[in-house]
Amino acid sequence: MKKTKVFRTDVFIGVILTLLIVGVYALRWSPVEFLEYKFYDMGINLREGPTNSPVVVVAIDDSSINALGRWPWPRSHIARMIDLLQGYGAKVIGLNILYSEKDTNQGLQAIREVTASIEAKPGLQGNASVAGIYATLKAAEKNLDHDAALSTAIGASQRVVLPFFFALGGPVLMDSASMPEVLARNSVSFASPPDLLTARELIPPVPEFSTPALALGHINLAADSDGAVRNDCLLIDYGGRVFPSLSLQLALKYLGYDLKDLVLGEALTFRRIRIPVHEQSRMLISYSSSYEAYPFVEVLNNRVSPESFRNKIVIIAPTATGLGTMQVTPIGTAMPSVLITANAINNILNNDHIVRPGWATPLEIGVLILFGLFLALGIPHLKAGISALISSVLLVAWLATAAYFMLAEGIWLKVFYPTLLLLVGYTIVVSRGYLFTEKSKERIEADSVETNKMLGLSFQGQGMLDMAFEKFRKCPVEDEAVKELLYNLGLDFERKRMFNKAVAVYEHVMTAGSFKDIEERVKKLKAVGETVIFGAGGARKDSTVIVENAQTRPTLGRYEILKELGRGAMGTVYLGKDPKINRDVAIKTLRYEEFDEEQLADIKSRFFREAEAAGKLAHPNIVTIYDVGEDYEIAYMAMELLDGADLAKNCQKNQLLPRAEVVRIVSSVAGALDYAHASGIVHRDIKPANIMILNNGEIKVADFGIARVIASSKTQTGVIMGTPSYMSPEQIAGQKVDGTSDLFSLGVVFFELLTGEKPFAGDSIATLIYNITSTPPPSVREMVPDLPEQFETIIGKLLAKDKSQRYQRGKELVDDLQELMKVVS
Amino acid sequence: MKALELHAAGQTDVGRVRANNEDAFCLLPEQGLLAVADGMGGHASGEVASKMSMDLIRGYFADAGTGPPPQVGAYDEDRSELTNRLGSAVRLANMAVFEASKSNAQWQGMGTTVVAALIRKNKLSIAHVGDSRLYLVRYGNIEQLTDDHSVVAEQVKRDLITREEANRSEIKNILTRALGTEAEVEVDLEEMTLLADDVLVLCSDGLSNMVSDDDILTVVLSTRDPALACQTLVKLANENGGRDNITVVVAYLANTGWLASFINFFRGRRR
Repeated sequence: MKKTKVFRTDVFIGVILTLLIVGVYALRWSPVEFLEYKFYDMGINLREGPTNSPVVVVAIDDSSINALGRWPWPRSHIARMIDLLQGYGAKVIGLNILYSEKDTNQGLQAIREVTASIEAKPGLQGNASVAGIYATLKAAEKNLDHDAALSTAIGASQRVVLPFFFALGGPVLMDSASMPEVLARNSVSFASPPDLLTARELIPPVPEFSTPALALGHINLAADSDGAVRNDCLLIDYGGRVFPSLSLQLALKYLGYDLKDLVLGEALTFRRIRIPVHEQSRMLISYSSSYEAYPFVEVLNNRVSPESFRNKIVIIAPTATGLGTMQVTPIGTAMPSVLITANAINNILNNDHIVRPGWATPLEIGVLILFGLFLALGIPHLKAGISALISSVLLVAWLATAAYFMLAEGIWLKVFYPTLLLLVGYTIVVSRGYLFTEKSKERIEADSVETNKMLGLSFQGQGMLDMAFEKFRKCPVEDEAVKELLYNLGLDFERKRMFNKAVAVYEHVMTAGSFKDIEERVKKLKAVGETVIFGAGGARKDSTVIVENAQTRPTLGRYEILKELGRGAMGTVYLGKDPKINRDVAIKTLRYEEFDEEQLADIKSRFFREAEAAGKLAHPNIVTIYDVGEDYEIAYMAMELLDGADLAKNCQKNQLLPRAEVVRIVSSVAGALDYAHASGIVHRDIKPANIMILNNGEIKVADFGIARVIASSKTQTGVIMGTPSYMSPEQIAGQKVDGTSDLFSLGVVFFELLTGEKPFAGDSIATLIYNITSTPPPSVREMVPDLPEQFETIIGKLLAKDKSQRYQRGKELVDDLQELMKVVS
Repeated sequence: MKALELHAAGQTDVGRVRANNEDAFCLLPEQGLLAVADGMGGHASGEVASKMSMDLIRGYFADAGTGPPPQVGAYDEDRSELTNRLGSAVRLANMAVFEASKSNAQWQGMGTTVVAALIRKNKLSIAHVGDSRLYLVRYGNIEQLTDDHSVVAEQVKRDLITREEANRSEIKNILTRALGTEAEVEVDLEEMTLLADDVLVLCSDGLSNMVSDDDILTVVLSTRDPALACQTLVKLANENGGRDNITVVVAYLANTGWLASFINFFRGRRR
């Protein structure tokens, strides 16, 4: 049981922990995510290697700024660069500078005012000097109009991709229907919009640039919770349309693909190019810190070989300190954002990706569950060393697998959730094991209920039911297990026919509420008790079946009690069964309750002494006694079960037996008495009720020596037990009783069987006693005139007041009766 | 922490002189429990005492179902939990026998010896009161692991008499300690590690007084069948006179098979 309890608790802890970690996993708890990022970054750094990059960066770096002047430069510098790169054969030019406002040049404005005023007066143009000045002004205007220069360069090159910026989140302020054509051209819409980051506002380049540009792409970056940029948000939703990132646009234009080719799915697909993405169409960037870059000023001054740019993607971007935002990336903390763009393009074009494949999440949850099961079912059953070993093996295997996938396959698995589960779970389960062991030790020391239960069970097993009850009483009765114990004890009491004890036990159980069929049992026991045990004896003569329930068949000693046969002077007679030899027996009981405490020991000893003596008798006309014993409050005697009736009813005038039969009966009894007297045993209570005539005609004398034990005791306490009609004079006088006394009693029986009347009678006991001791018996022949002479003689001899005048032995009576038999029959 | 397989059997015999058998024993191999009791007292109460003690100790280990088993008496921190539990079982039996003896005049003064062994994996715990013994047979030698709680054993310990004199002593059967005669009993506890091929013999003085240690050793080593060993020992004791009830429990310890060891290895529990 204890084992199961431990087992259950461990399962519980395992399941709760697993659910907890799965919950944390789903919520992306930042501390664990941070660890996951660190693992990822480590993998990225280990993966890093030379890549075949089609990207070249023209860096607006510190040296360029030193050479060309403070930033922002005139936009014509950029226009010149675009012209140059176009001449070099660059395939696509990305300009990672967002010109969202027009250039505000006060000199240009002034010139434009002057030229405008000249143009306003057409006459002035005819003046040659004015025309000269006008031409100079126009040239100056053209030189100073950097926007126009850049716009022209963009338009002329036909290969410039420009950036724009989104303000992310929030409600969209713009209606897609009114979207400018240039934006519509650089976006696609889907019937069922995919789950993407959404933008509320778009900050485009000025139309002068955006209109002639080849394409536009956003330059938003989405940093992770630790501030590092690991993803490129390839697509962003704005106003129901999907806008690509600058890197995606550059790659597409490089390949000559169009945004319209986009197919959404597990990955973004453009014809042959497949870009694996995870949620919100983010692409994990596999970083490489090495990329080809040339300072702007070097390129402008033709100091870089044109070959470096042929058929490349050239990105013009600021990298100087203080220009643009520096980003945190897995490979460094202050990286210009162009690096991110360049890497993203490389990933796309080289098809070199870090992937969170669709099966990554199920796998991670699967590993979580596996580890959870190991915690719940494995560790509690393993020795500490083994479980530590297996735990470490599992952990290392998991980390190694994840590392392999990361480095070799570019597959990113989140390792730390399962790792965390295993570490925390192992610690808790193992340490809890120690705590629990300590606790159980404490508990068993304090507990005495268990002791009482065990002692109680032990006593019950030994048949010491009272002591068992005493022990069980000390256990909390509210406990179901204790109720069960008590219930079984009650059943044992019932079996022992100690109904009042059984009731006491059941009532004790009932103090804590009902249990099983206890109430019914108590009711039944009380009813049975009134009729059989507690009641005033003879009032109810009906043969009550003690307890109908076979399950609790009562026992006396080893005998099962089947039913009540009747009531004698001693107590109730039952039909019993000896289960050992499957023999039906009659069981006479002697209930001690009817006697005083002080007499009990004496009565008991006499009862057993007499029963023991009687048990030695083996005669065909004597009821055989098998066994005698004592079970709780009841002494009992198991004897031959007889199928017949006693002679009591044959003493009534209208039911008298034939004379020959009477002679045979008396003769049989005389023979039995002779045998018993020779064995030194006196019956002391010969009367019709103690002589049985069986259905097969056999005569049996019952209750040798025993009945008087009871009767005399009762007499002593002053209770008259019936009338002493069959007593001999010496018995009444309290003198020593011997065999001739039995023969006197037999004489009385003989007289009664013949006449239907008792030889001695009286209105009161006093008269009766006087008659027995002093009055000669009446003549039989006076009452039954046709009786032969011999009857009178024999009865006279039997009923002689003086012992010495009677037959001295039963044998003598038998002889005389045999003579008489010849006469009668 | 190797688990050992236990092959045990027990036998009790009335002997050649006594009318009734007041010995009892208890075998619960699945719990690793072995015990022998030798009852004493008039009116056949010795039988009651020995039987009660065995029933109780068996019950303590067999159906400790409803919670942790009770700790009876003080917990000995120097001993393992198992040894303490065995001690508890014996002390509980003492309580039961003592209370029973008070409850019934005929059982007044009854008592019993008890020697009990508990084997879990390769750990042996011993608890004993009285002069029933536990022998360990190892590497062909026999060693008595329990000190008899008898007057003669006390005398031998104090060098008052020699072991030979003790064997012939008239008062050999007088105990200094018995279970059930006092409200509390001091139980001797012992524990040790078992090895494969060890043999344990638990017996009442009906055997140890009739059969020498060497003969016990010879019989035990002549077979690996515990039932046969018990039979032979009882027979030998009867041939030597059988002056008292004879009870013996023999247990052979064996290495488990590799598969069983493997399973046990993984199923090994902390308790």
